[in-house]
Amino acid sequence: MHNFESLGDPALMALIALGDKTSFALLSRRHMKTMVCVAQRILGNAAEADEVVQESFLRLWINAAKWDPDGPGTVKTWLGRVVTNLCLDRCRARRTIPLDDAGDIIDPAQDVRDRLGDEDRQRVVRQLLDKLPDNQRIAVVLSYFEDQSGKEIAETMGVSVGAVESLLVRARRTLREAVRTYGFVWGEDL
Amino acid sequence: MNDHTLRSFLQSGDPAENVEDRRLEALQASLMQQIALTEQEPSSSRPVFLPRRFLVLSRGFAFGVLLCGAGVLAGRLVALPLMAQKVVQVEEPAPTVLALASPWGEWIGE
Repeated sequence: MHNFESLGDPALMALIALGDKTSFALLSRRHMKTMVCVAQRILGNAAEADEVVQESFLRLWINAAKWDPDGPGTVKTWLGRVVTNLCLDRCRARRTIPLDDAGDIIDPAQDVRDRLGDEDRQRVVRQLLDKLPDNQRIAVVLSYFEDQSGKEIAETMGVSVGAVESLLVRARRTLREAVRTYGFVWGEDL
Repeated sequence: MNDHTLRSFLQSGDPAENVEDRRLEALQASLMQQIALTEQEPSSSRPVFLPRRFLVLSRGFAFGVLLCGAGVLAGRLVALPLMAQKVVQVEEPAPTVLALASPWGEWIGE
């Protein structure tokens, strides 16, 4: 009996290409949480995030034989790319959000750190992320939440490193302005 | 607000902070079910692709046959009016002559 746990992603992909379900279960368990978190941060919706992740892993199962281990990027970045692309498709499809799903607007009168509970804080961050264009939001999610480098983000998003830097600079500017507009106080830097 | 502050601010309200293990397990189980379903699909519903080389060769062969047919037809069309005007006299050889004129004539003649 082989110890599949010790196998790296490329070896698991080779076994998945042969139709090995154990390897697929292991690989999907290995990356499931990261992909769910990425999708949920981009989409802001748990059910949609689950659908996107499921679709992404199904694509991995179907296209495992086409994956080139010598090509650029890792299995994780390939998977991340599929997830972010599917998220982008969903974002484009739902340009108009029903008012009921938009959530309450946070009263910007008080100090955010003192006043907000965990749920409210999540809602504030959600609103801030929603203010960003889709590409900038994805770059912010991968950089600030996943701690990915510029190169990794570039591989995941299929753009150049320079383009990623540009997206992050614009996103930071938008976020700072949004934070000021809300009147949030966070530390002494504001 | 510097980059570090912005990062910690965003992370303090991570929208995916409370992703539960139970949810991931359910997702995993659902995924494995879907994989099993894709395997149960009848093979007849899957498209069967012929090798590309075979397709190219068969197309080339069909084109060659068509070209030969067209050549014979064109020859007939040109020859018929000339034959009608007695410009050329074409005598249709008897089948036995044709057979004898072929590479196997000697063998047939024996």
